[in-house]
Amino acid sequence: MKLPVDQGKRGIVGAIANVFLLCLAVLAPLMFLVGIISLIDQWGAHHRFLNNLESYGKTVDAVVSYIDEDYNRAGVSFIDASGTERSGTLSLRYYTPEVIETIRPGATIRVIYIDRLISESEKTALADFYSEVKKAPPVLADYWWVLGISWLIIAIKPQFVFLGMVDYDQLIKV
Amino acid sequence: MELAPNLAVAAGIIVEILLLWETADRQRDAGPAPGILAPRLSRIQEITLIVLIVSWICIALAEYVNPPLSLNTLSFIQNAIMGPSFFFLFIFGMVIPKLMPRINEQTIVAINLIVLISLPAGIDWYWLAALLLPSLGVLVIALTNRIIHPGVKSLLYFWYLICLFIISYQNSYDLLASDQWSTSLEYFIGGASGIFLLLHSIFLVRFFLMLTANILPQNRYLVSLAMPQLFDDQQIPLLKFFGILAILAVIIVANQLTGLVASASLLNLLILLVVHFMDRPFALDQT
Repeated sequence: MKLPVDQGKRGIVGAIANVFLLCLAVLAPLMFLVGIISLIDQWGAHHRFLNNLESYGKTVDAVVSYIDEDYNRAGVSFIDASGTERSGTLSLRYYTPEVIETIRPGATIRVIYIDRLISESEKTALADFYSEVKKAPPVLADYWWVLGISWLIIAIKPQFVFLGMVDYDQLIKV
Repeated sequence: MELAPNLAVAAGIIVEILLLWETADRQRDAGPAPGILAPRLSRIQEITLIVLIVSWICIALAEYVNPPLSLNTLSFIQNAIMGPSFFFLFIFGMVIPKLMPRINEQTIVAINLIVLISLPAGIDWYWLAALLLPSLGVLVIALTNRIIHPGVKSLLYFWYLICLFIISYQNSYDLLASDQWSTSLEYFIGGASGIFLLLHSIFLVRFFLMLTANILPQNRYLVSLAMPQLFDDQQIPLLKFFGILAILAVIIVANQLTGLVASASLLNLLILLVVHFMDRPFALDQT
């Protein structure tokens, strides 16, 4: 038999959880929208990158100039087909940790670069691991987590998604 | 893009926004304000007609004069069109969906038919099956007179938004895409259908979240309260409904055989006509 004090504590905990979820539910639709926009942007960027490599890709030896751990990429310098010195970026998200270990400042690596002056033409890919780049998922797992968590919050507390379509007093009915 | 196509796109966008406003006004209000110059029309209908006439005069003048504008000026004009358009799309697609036209299952069947006809020839069998199965389901529901449960209505409306998204995706919509249209009329239709399809594509994100209210029983009342704003229970008589479907099919097939109008423009125009005008002649004589 439950004691009234236990029921009171559960009621307080439940009310706090409810308020907490409602506060998160206010932000969740915006999180979801931002997640969708970011997902579409990543998807588009990845497919444009692959299309550009297919259409204009050329292989060359490049020297690693820096490693940017914040953005998970490396800077590379190389001489393109017309003899011009160029710099590019190498995203490290496509490669295993063992491969990334070999990419150090000053190291010479073989890359595929985009031999055309178009948007995002600074991007390069490792020539020996081009198949990995093609098979890689277009979107990082982090984005799916953001979408999944915000969706879950909305599934529990969907009230704020109905703002503007349902009267306010019916929105927050108990 | 020269001045005339830019004006045509802008005119298409403005006319479509006015049509959405007029449809929302008519479907939600019992008595919209009468027109000033033409009392038999509502005020918003009158404004739409005036804007249509004035814009086409401007487009015709721009085509005739064809002023040699610099790239900077043309870019400025395009930004002036796209900026407010994206603002409109965000506000009325995500925040205040007051301009979403109310549709019924018969409208969804007509839109579905247009989408199925627009599919590319070499589509994989599993995609075709994925599209045909819900299409048949919607058709069966449209042939009955029963009032549909709000949960089912929400799924039907979601399918309708998916159909519109498929059309947007196939059109690869860039509001000012220049290489798929050649005449000012096509640019006009492109602008009008572009804003319509993008508006619904953005609302698709919000509606997908609204569908989550169907999961937990204590939240389902929200769907029951929201669906009447989006879904109409009235239907037109079956004979007229089949007549409209037949006319749509004949127009599309005839155009494919004769090549009179660009296929994408025709399909986009038919979608706009179905959504805005399918319920008009018959809405008042239902019991």
